[in-house]
Amino acid sequence: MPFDGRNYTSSGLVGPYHAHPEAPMTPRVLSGALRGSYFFGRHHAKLVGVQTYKMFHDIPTRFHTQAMTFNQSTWTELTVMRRNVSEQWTHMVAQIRFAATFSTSRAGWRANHRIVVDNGAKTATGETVTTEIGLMPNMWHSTQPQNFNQSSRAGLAINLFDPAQGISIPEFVAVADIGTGDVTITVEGYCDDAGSNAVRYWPHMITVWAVSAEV
Amino acid sequence: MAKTQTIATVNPLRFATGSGVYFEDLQTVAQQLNWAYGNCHESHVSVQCGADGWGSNTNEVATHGVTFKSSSGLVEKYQFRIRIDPDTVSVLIGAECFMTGSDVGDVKITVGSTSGTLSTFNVAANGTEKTTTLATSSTGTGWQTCKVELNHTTGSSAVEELRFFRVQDSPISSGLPSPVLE
Repeated sequence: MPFDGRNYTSSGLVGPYHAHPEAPMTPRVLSGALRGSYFFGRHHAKLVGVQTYKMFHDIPTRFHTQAMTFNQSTWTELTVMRRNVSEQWTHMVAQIRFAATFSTSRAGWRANHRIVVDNGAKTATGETVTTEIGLMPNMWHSTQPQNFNQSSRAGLAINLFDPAQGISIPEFVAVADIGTGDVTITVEGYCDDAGSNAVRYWPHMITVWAVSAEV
Repeated sequence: MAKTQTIATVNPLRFATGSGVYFEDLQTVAQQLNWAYGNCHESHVSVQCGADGWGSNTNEVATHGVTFKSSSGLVEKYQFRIRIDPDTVSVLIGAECFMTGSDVGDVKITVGSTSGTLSTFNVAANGTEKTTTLATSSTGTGWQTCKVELNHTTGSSAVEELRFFRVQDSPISSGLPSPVLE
């Protein structure tokens, strides 16, 4: 394999003795400096965008119209962002906070999210990240979901994705299949196993970053 | 004098113990670092303000529901501050609207000391982002105040939406300035 330091994640440590005025320039120093320059680019993850939403309990009388009702397995657009991406970045990672209520048993209830990246000509779809809502012990559950008040707000489960298991595009797809330049990033979601039950879902905040994978 | 930016590789023999290191190699490293820096551009703000057909209703209510005023005239909807790095050459501004009927609107985004107007959002432009770039020589660098204003130039409907806007640094592909000498 030809030397291509972009595959290196080393920070390119150069010993302080190489800064001596009479220290020789050695291949090791050169290598360290080159690795450092690649490292600089690869480890500058950048924000794509932050999307906020109206919090439903701020306007309780509009509860029903503030909610997003999921009762089918159809990917639904949660937010759209656009950004110029560099080939130094290989992945998009999203963090999504949301709350949900459902009117019947929570067993088996799941929320799914994914990222879709499109450059106008090609599309890359990230893996689906599933959150088992039914396993969350503090999930607010009521047969009368319209009865929100301040005290019930504390009981709402807000799921915070661990960035480490963020939604990702397979390695280098962003470069090889999508290309660099301006791309459209869509975060989508749906809830399944809800049957005919009305599941209400509120995204609170979605944050997306462009990052480099460790390779 | 602008600095050269290159996606660089160095001959692997240069890294063998005892091999010579030449000034070209140092230039290569510096150019690679310049390229990496130029392609680490910031995203200052990217907000979806409203979208159609989302949720159980036909209109977007769960984001910010930002609409045009029903008559013409600039109306400020957002104001925020961003920090533009002194090396940044230009800033990209973009917006997308959702219009109905024959209504038409403009989006004016001010960054620091200058502004750009994204014109003629109409039904035909739904789903299409309009963008332009502002030179930092005009906007200024450092902390700058930004504004997003809407102008309902044609029509009086109250449901015309600002769907999305963004302010981002453009990648620096050329013109990366040399360091400022103190």
